[in-house]
Amino acid sequence: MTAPELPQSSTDTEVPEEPGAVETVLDLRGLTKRFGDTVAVDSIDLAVAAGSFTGIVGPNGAGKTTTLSMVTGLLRPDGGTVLVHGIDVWAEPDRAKRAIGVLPDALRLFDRLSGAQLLHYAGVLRGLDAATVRQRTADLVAAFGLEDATGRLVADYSAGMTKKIALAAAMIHSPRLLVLDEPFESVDPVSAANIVDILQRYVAAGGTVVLSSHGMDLIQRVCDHVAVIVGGKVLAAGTTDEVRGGESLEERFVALAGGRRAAAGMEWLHSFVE
Amino acid sequence: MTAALVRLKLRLLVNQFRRSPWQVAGLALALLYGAGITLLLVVTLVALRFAPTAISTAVVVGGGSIALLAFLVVPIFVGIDDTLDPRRFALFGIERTRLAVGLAVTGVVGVPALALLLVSFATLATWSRSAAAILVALVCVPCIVLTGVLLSRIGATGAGLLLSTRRSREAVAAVLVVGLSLLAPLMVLLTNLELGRQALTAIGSVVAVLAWTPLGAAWAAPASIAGGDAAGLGQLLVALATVVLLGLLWRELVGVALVSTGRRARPQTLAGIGWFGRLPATPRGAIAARAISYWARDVRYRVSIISIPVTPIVLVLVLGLAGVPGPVLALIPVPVVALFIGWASHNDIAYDHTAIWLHVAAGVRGVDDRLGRLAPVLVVGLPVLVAGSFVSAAIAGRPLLAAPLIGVAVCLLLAGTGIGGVSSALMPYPVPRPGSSPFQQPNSTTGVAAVVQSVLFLLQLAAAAPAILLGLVAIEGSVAAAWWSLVAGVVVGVVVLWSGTAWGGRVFERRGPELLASALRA
Repeated sequence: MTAPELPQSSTDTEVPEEPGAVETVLDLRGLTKRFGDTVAVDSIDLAVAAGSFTGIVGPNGAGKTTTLSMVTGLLRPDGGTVLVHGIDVWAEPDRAKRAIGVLPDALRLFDRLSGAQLLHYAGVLRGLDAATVRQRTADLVAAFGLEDATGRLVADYSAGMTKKIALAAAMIHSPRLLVLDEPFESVDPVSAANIVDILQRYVAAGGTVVLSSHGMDLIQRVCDHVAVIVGGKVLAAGTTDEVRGGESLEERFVALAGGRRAAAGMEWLHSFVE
Repeated sequence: MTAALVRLKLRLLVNQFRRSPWQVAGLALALLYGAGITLLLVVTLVALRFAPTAISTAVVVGGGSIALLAFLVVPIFVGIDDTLDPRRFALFGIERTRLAVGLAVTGVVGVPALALLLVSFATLATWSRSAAAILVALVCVPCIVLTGVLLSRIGATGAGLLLSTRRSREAVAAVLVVGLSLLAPLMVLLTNLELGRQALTAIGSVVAVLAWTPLGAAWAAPASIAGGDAAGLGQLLVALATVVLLGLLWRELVGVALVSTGRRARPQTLAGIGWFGRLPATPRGAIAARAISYWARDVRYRVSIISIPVTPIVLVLVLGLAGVPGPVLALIPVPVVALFIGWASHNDIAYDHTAIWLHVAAGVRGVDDRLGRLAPVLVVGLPVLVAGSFVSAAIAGRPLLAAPLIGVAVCLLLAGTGIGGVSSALMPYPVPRPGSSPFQQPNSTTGVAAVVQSVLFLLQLAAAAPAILLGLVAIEGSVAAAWWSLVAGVVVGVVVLWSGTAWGGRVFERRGPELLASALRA
């Protein structure tokens, strides 16, 4: 963890990175998306420093996927800019996209390809040559524990395996920025620990990870920065310790997201059906 | 229970109208069509009151049996209305007899069953020749409706249980395409007058047998009574027994469906990376390899592959039986195949569904995407068409006609793919999803798809018009026109392909996110 340990009572934390001192790899300014009358993302500003491991958390429907889709060039924003390494994703998409690795949520893969074919396809589309793709495919398959599955069609994979092969495809071109939407969903704990390990080494080498997740414990443990998005707005952002301010991230998140619903009026649930 | 299920079904029906205007328009059109057919059948049945008993019997029993057969077969192949699949109720812990009754009754609520109810009710008029006949018909109407509904429920659920694996569905789909294509020449054979007269006498004996089968008994019982034949009582028994047996079978099937999760297929394994290793490791090469793999592996493409050669065969058979002379006939298949192959790629991006995100996120160049996708179509299509042109010209006995045939075919293929390169990026319309039945068209296609498809056909033909016209002159005997047709076809085709690819490539790059958005809506 890069953030210094702080006294639990103090909320006046010392910011380790001065703004501008470390390169900002991802910079959202006034990013906005509307669907009809609903504002899904409401003028979000967010800066992610190079070499950081940033978690984006928020309740269902908060606009996380919408935001990440606009960052990766998959969804056209209604307003605002996305800068990746200073390149505007929506003005110069080709240059910007080269630096990004993407794991989208709830989008299909070309699942009539075998795992090996899919990795090859992703690598070659990203401009790698055959030898590089072959070597990286072997490494990724070993790292994600997919050795037995490379010949099978992705359509026949389980949900967790599909997630892993998609994650591998997102990394194959060694991007500077990985944008991962729900990378741990339906992944077993052993594989999740494996993936965290891979991502932490990537960050240690200077890469940047932005991921969304509902696993608060995991984010608190793994991410050095956190942004809380609720109702299309960033309610809190900063180092993980700043944001949680002495509480656990889960407690802080539930408070920010509107608190627990009182479970009153559910007494019938305690008198059981015959 | 039953009331709740019926309410659910009604709610589902009503909600069909709460979609986009295009879908509602398509649905309304389908309903009007159904209502029109039903009305026509009712009027026919009333009119049959005044026809000789033998003819009325033949029409009612023959037609009725086919209708009931359709209730069984159509859900198996088309997989319609699985909204009320018993397996969806597995977690509610409903007793199976109650669920079976509820779902069967719910089956009556629906356009096909209502039409069947009206039509079978109209047979009361047909058999209003004696009080006894009316009485028997009155018993047979519910028998017919229940038989139809139970058959369709059994067909849909049975198919769902047996054909739930991907590959078994694909196999059934392929068989169906071939079977349907072979029906056309059969129809021609039957409409041929001489054969038709023999067929009519044959129909009489077929009806006599059908009258004692589960499909025909309920239709035949009042007919026999009206004709003064006591055998009608026996047929009535068959009809009633059919309903009881189908009911028991349905109950049994619901019981099985409630505790089964469907069959699992053994996954197939590929060694190596197939076409990806054979083609150059560039974006264009990889997209081509992917396209080839999909044409070979994805059932939605496979249906196209099968129907492309089958269509001209059927066309030639039909025209040949209709008396078109052989030499003319020989010239038909090649242009028709070219037309279809060229047209086949016009909605290619929609077949990727949301998987297209990979191309968008990777910033694939539009030209690479366009040309890569065309690889299987061009690499297979061009040689086949050129070779076919020579064969056709030889069969026609005029080798020189190979030149205009090649001109027309190449032009239709290249222009079609060129135009498709623009339209697939500009106006994708929804298609069956990956892994679903190729016949399960999404409802929203009806309006937009028909417009896009017909406009593209016309554009394709317009591009090939010079080659076609010069080709017609060549058939009249002009040698120069034959060569000019070849030149015109190839030049126009190459120009349209080149400009279509360039334009379509720019559209693809500009509209990447919008293409993904339209796939998400599909």
